[in-house]
Amino acid sequence: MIDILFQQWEQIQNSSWLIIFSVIGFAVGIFMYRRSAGHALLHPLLIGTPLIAAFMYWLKIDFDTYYQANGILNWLLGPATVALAVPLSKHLKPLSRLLPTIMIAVTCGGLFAAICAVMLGLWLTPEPLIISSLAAKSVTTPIAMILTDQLGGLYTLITVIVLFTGIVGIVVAQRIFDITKLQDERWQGLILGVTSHAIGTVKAFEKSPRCGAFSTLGMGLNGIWTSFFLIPLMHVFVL
Amino acid sequence: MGMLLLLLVLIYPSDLVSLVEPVSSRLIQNLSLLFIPASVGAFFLEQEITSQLPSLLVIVILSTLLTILFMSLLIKLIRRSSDD
Repeated sequence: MIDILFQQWEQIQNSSWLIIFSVIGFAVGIFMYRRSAGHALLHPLLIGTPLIAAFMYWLKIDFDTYYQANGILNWLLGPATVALAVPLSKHLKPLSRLLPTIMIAVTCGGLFAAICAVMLGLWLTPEPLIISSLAAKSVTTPIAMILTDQLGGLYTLITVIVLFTGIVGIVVAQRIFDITKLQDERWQGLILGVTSHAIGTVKAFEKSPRCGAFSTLGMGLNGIWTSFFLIPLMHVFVL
Repeated sequence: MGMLLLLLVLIYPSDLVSLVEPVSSRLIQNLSLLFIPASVGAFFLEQEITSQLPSLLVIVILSTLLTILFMSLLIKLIRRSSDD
């Protein structure tokens, strides 16, 4: 217990001026995103990260140095995930009547997402490292990182896959909702949360607080649920 | 785990929500900032991994698409049978 606290303190202490890169990249990303009135393909991360990477190549800063310098941001991922329980708790009471539907949808959806990714992975790539870095793709970043670590996958790869999954989700979701004629904002939110985690939730909150609450619920429940089934599932499929 | 704990505490009727909400909502609004450091790692991956990126792209797009489709249809099915 004390060990964990020391590790976390060290992680925060390693933060340095390089964190400015992240902040500026984020600020530029947010600025462009707002100017475009929230176009999905101009997500702050898609504008900010190449910009930061370009500067790092130019100034010859290696990734590990940069990543450690951002210790406090990486550390904040934990509290931020916990903080997601706040909007969730506010909306959970009026939702209790819908709980059976929510539970069935999240359980089946979470399982489907992981099985689908692993099966396609087994079919399309010869690299087992990719498959174990892929399984947690629908889960919010901090949970996905822990799960991937336990599965022996790559943590830089899972963050990118999680990010990309989220972006794909918010880009295609509305079109699929149009095709299936799923117009209810609540269920759209839930699906965004289960399939596109925090990125989907940010998008859902832009739609409406209710959509965001359902998305938070989907993301949170799927995160908890996936951390229960993913490791046994991988033993069934890969080992 | 922490999320589950906070949820259980906050579900209980009290003023706790109004106490933590100003901080938590600010954190959530700027959530994207926290994903930036790890995402930059995408530009610093090794050769064996980057060579697999095209198939990885296909896997992620297909599985995400299929999952959203599956969930939309599933929810439609459930909601129709319980007609609401």
